[in-house]
Amino acid sequence: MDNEQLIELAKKQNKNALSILLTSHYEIVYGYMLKLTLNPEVAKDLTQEVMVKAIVHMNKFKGDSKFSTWLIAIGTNIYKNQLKKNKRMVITEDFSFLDAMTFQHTSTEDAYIKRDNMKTILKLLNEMKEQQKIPFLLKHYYGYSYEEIAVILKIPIGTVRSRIHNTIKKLQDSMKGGLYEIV
Amino acid sequence: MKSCSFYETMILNEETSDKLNEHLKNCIQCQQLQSLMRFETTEIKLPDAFIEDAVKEAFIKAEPIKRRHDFFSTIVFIAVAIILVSIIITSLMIQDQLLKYYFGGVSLFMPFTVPVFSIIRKKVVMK
Ligand SMILES: [Zn+2]
Repeated sequence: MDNEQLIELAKKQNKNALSILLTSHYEIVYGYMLKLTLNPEVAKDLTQEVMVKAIVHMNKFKGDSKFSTWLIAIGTNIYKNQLKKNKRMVITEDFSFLDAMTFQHTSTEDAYIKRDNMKTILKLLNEMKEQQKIPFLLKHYYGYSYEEIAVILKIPIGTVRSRIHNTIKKLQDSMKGGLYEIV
Repeated sequence: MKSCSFYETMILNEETSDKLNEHLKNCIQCQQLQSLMRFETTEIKLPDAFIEDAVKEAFIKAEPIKRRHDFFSTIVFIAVAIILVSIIITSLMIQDQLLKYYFGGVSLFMPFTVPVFSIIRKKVVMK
């Protein structure tokens, strides 16, 4: 059964179909939450909240976007609410959990460098405001178009563009002294 | 060293062209930037059993919330129904009373409308 059939069934309150959908999308949501929070424990809790919300509101999924996009949008809201509740989210200083990340279309050696780069970028992103962090993550880690990001974040497309532009500028400034000196 | 913004401009405009690929071959700065910016679908592998348990747990957690949701929407539905019905009855009453006032006849709603409409009628007659 493909995703579309599963979604149709899930919208009709079919628990099995929804369960299969959530299971297959769990890692995407968890990976996103991890990149946002840099804390495996918090990421797990927030992913769980996304799953619960998706179950409760499944009938509201219109199907005009991909199911994963819908979950990412729910996750973004949950993360933002969490930030409002406790402004300073604790991040773990130990980034070894990121070693478990796998890259598509990348050789083992490249993956090693990529992982190091990614840790640096994530650390730098974590020091930025969520308005700068989230659009960048969605664009460069998930390959969403500006239009899709505008829909997910409910902001104008021009704003998405300028925020990502600012984030890139900031990242470049931070790395002027050479990438590996920061790590 | 002057920084090159070719790659950045291209991705900000969502363009990937031969021109960009050609540029990337020759510009180390842009190569570096590209390797920093692109991390397509980097996901963490979790044990299947963990995910299964987590999803099961989510269903259990969602159950009471869903019930509360359903209860709430039933209440809203009933409230809206009551408001609609009273609007309809009131307008029927007004219509009925007006007909009775101008053309005579018996009102179906007499027992309910007499107190209210006797006041209105008094005011109209007084004018
Ligand atoms: Zn260049």
